[in-house]
Amino acid sequence: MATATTAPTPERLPLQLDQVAPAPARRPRVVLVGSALASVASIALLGSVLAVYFSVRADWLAESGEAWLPMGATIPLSPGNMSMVTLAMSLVTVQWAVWSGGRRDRAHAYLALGLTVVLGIAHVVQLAYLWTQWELPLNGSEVTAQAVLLFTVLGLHVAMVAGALIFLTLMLLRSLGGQFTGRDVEGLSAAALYWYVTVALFTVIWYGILIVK
Amino acid sequence: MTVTETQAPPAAETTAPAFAPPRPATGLAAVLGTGDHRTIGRLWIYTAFVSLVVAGVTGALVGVEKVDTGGLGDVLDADIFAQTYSLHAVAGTFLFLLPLLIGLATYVVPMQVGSATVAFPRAAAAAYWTHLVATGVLLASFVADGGPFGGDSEAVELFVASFIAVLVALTLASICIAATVLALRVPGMGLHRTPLFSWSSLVTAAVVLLTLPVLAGVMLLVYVDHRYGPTFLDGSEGVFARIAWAWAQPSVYLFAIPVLGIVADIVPVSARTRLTKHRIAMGAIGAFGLFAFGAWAMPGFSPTGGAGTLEYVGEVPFYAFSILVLLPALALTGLLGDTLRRGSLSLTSPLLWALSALLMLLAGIANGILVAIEPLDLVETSAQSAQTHYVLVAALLGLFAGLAHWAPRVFGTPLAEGASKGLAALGLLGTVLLCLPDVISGFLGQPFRLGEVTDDVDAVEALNIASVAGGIVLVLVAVGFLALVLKAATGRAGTDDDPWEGHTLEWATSPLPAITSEAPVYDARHGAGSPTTEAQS
Repeated sequence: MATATTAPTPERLPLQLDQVAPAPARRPRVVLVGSALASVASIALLGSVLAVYFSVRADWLAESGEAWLPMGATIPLSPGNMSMVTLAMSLVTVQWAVWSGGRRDRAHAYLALGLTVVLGIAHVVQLAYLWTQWELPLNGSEVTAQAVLLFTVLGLHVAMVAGALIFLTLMLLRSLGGQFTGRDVEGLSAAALYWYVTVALFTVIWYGILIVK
Repeated sequence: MTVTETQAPPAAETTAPAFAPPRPATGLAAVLGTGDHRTIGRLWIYTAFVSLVVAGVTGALVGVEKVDTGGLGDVLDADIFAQTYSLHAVAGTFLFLLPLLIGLATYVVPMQVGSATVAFPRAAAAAYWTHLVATGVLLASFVADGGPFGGDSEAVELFVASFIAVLVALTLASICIAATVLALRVPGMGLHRTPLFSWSSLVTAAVVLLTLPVLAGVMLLVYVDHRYGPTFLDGSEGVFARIAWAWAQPSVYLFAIPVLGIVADIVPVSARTRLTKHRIAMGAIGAFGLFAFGAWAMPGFSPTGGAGTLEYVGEVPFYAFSILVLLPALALTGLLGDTLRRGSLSLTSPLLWALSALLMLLAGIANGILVAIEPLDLVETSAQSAQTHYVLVAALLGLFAGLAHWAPRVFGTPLAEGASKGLAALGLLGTVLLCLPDVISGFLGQPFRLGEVTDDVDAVEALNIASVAGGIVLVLVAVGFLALVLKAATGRAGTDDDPWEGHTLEWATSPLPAITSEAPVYDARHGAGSPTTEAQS
């Protein structure tokens, strides 16, 4: 009599996570690495201009003994402070976006990213208002080293903010397109990293230039 | 009620798909829209050679003008001389050397680390096209009486703006290369197993990220000041002073970092053995990069105007950076010497180029130490420009070594070996002839760029003639090398795509070998247990 051999039926056991071999180590994520490198370059870029600003101001104060800002010029506190508060709030919203993305909560991720973009634009608007208030002309014969330095530092930071906003918007659109999942929020994290650096640099500007003057 | 049933016509067996994949672009469209790292790398390389022509011609003009120590007017008047000198310096470094390095790295690094592409290929392409357009505008600004020392205010601003764009493009390309090494290495290739050219490209990119944005920031200040002032940066006269620190030590060593990686990749291949102490070699290259960071050593800024002074000369960091940079270079030289001693040497043309580059780099470092010794009073003499030339020409020779080594991969066929060897020997001779007379005339008091010499006039003029002759030899070497490259690029692809029996992944054929050491192709050919294994490193 022929005996038929039957394959044993595999038992369906619950997955024991502690018995599963660990996944192979993942490479650092490309977008995040690229964002970190771009952040380093941005810090070097704005840092160089800031270093020149502080150096020239220190020499001016040591050599002339006069106030740094020319007669009649002023840097009102309110717009700068509001800008700082605005950017501080945006730190919360951008982290909210990353957190929501990680939890597959797309609606909140979109809301948080949208809020961050709005706060960033508000920051730029406040700086533009500040420029109209400080009585430092950049045209005509009354241009001073102070005006050149201040406009360059703040203009460069506005350009950084604009770049970061474009980056955030791009990541928002890619999220809307379904390119990021709950397990992969790399793009959002990368944009958030660049945003943190942008805000950190403004903190230096805010204290070193707008407060200390 | 009648119901009309309509049936779909039977589907044809060869129906075209609803979403046909786009046909690959061909011709010019393929070049303009490419994200292929090989195409982008070749574009960088070819464009760099065009800039080399500009740098060579302007360098020859400057050299001829310097022969007569009595003053200007033999070939160029004062303004034209200053602009020509500036163009020579900018074109030789930011339009030629760095782009050539980036081209080679964009081509080779992804293959070395086992990646199918460079990181952010569209950004890499954007960097190239930005650099190309900015280069065109920059050269046009000189034609329109712009550039440093230019007489036309708007053309000077055009130069500064285009120079910033050049710096941004180089920084962006460096980010792509660094991200490739950091994030796209094949599994099994830890950072400690990264091939040394890729590692040196990463180190170079890191120093570039910390240096070029600083230069760009200062240039932005120069632009705003020049356009709306000038208030404190000396107009077009001050532009050159704000760039020149990039060619002085320690920043000048930035251009030579990849030379160490190229040489360290070529020597073991030519010696047909493995490089021992791979990690020490990596450390040496990293330390060299550390001492090549020199953004701190730029002229100071004064609120009342003036180009600022070289405040760092004579200070401890200047001494330290100038002297300590010799240690990693010597350490690597020792490792490579030991590798040559152990191996069975094959005197290939890449090896000749590489050894010439390493020798000239060591000479440049020694020259830099002399310049740093304050009592010798060599700062802002021709000895300082000799050091710059030593290091930059060493970088040139090193990059030629890399092109000769990777020609079978980049151009499809090796360069003509005999001619390449002859050019390498001439390159070494030309470099010594260009630089050594300037070192001696520096001791005799010849100024950095141009100026009257009061003592030993005949000796200095004879030395200047020798230096110009060296420059002309180097121009001929560069032209000859370009001819070899063009011949290789336009000729039929060779049958032997690994004539040197390379060690690293760019020489591998599909499928990739297992990565168990820093020389996986060597392992696959000789076995992982071959006499000199990773255990020794």
